[in-house]
Amino acid sequence: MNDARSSKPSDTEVLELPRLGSRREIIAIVLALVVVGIGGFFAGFVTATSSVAGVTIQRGPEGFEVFWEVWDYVESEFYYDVPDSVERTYGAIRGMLETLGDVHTAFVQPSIAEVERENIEGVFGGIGAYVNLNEYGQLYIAYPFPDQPASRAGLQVGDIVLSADGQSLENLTLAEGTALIRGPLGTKVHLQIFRPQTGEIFEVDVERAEIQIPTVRAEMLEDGIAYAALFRFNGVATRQLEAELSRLFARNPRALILDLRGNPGGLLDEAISVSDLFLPQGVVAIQRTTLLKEPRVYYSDTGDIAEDIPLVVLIDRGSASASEIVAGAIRDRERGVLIGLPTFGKGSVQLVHDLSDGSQLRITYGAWYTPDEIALNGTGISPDIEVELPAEGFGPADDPWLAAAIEYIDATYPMVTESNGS
Amino acid sequence: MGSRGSGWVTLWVLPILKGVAIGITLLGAFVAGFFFRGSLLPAASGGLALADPPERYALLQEVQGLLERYYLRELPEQRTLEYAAIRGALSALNDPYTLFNDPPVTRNESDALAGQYGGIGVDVQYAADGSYVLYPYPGSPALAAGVEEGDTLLAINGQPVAPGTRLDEIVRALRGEVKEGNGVDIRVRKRETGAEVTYTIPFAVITVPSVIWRTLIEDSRIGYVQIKSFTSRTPEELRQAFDELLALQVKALVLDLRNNAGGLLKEAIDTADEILSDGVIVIEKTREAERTYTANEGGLDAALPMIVLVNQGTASAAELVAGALQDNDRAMVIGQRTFGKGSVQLIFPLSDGSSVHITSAEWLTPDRTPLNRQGLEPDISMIPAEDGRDVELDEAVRQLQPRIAE
Repeated sequence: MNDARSSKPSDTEVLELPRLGSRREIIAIVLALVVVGIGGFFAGFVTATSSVAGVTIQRGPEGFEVFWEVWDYVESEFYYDVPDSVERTYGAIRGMLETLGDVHTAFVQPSIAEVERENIEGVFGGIGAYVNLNEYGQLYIAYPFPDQPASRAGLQVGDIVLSADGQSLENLTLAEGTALIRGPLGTKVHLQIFRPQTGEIFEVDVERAEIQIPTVRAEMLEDGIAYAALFRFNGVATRQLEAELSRLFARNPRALILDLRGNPGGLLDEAISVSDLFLPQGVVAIQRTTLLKEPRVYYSDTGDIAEDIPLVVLIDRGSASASEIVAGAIRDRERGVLIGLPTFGKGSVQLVHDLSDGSQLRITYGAWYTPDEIALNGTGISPDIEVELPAEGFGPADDPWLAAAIEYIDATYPMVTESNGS
Repeated sequence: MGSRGSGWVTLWVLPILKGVAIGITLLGAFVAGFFFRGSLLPAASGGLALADPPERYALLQEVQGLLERYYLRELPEQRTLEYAAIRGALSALNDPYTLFNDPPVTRNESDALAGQYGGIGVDVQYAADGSYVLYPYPGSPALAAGVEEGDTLLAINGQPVAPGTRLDEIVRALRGEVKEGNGVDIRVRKRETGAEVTYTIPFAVITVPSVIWRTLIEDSRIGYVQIKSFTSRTPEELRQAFDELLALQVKALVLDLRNNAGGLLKEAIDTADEILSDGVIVIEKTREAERTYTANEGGLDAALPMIVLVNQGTASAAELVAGALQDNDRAMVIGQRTFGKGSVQLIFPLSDGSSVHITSAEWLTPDRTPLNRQGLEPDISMIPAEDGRDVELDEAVRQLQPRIAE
């Protein structure tokens, strides 16, 4: 494929921010903060900037005199034991961030930040599922990977995790819930599960394993339809997807289903280059950030492997961030049809800053737009053909969304048979 | 407590205070009482040793600097961030009574504590049709200007009062510092004629009584004294109440502390001291020391039978008074178990007009009963009536009548 990255400045260049210190920053694009993968990697936010030691702060906290007045009165007058200043400082930081009204701009204290760092580094024992919080703040299984501990233990999409090893997850943040579920390799976590479809509550032990989640799964379906599921946008996503497509295309499929369901995102570069596999020259996505006056436009080039094949993209609420960039570009450029459920709506970008005491601060500093300038944040991408979750549920072997995609392909691109002479 | 002269010492209950702050206060119906030591100073940080600024600022400064540089959207005002940081830091203390008030709430609270404020002296009530209706107080500038009960408020200083305007905003606009030339223009629709009239009304000091008293209709030998809250005016008002009732030859007293959310500590102690002639009133424990407050000579005649009425809304300073009278066997307590708040807050005014309440002490009744969460158990427990009858007062009369010397 043509390298889409060659047509734009590198991310590193963009993020060579003034006063970010001498260390070269790792690309700090955070694509899917919300959908944290318990099961391994979590491609969500890449990143990490330099340590803050290198940051030169120009503007001090002027105007914080009242804060320190209060602080001093508490220390001199408070009757009960005063929590140490670290706890109070963390409280102050959380209070300050709450006023922003942006859940993605968040403070993570050191113990949990450590978990996050392991997430990014990928060495830990997980249960092999994506998890997320629903509208009531309950942690649920967004996507259990096939043949991983969670799905082997019988967990399904939508299962709500009530407690882990006896500790309730009520009111915990996603990061905190994740930290409780994860643990040393080879141990088991005891989960209490509520399954909304059936109303049952049950308990299950799930192994914590080193999760090897594939990046791509590709196969030929019956009747000449190629199918490729992309599970995450990691550093090899484009390369592996291209190789798998190349293998499938050798069998002359009449259409391709690209499955982005449950894909929480990952690296920006991969989102652009995956899009480029399917798109001729044109705009893929537009990013606006705090630091640049002009929006930054990401392009695709002509001449890639999958620019012509009829295309259906499967999306759902678990498709976030980088997945939404790809889906949005394919929709706006009228390259394919989106089938499934509205996507998550995570079109903002966070920088992750390591603070001096080991805590982390994630700050929303950018937002994504589709080629037609539609913001990805908030509502997400709506499918062209929406297929609701069947009210009666469905069996493990059924996939109503995949069935809808095949039905659409059969109706739009009928199978060419030997007998009709073409 | 000498070093604390800059703060107000208070006993009160948070939820009620919030109510006060949000608007009840502004109606003139104060529910929180207080008393304060010393005077309210504009700022009080001077006497405290500050740690080295760079060290103190480190982590907050990091966060703030990073937000300023990187945050995508517009940041809230610095003040908003600072107040949020203060509230966040205080939440780490896990004490609901240690809290921060911004300047408007602080002003309302100061008014409530003082039992008076600068204003035009009207009660503002929300009507069913969404309008606001005025009820001027007797002797108020509003009444003198011609405002009558039931007039509908249309505009303040030329600004129409839009439907949905918050009550506390309206009430705030009708208040201000008492000085030459200060006042407010209001346009009203007269209830009688429907005519629209504009009044220019000067601000004056409006006092909010914390004590009301009368003899009971059902038995005029019994004096009834209700303390709604403990403001700086309460002891004086109480002396007046006792003087008038004793002049009417009452033979017994009912002291009603129901729904009294508390208020100023010293005024509560003075109130108990008005009644008791000796004995311990309260024991205050600070971080370093324990202090016992005892009654001075010259209380009410100890032979005058007295009953105290309490309920779940009796809190803090009101519990202190009820506990002192109960433990000294001076009064029988009738009603429901009280709220249970045995901590004392100092209120410190801050340099920008906001204030902070800091729990600085706990108090015990003379029998060393801890109050927190438990509350006081009445001598006679009553189930509140659902039909609006005042069963506690009825029981008090029933208990007192046999004890009144013929």
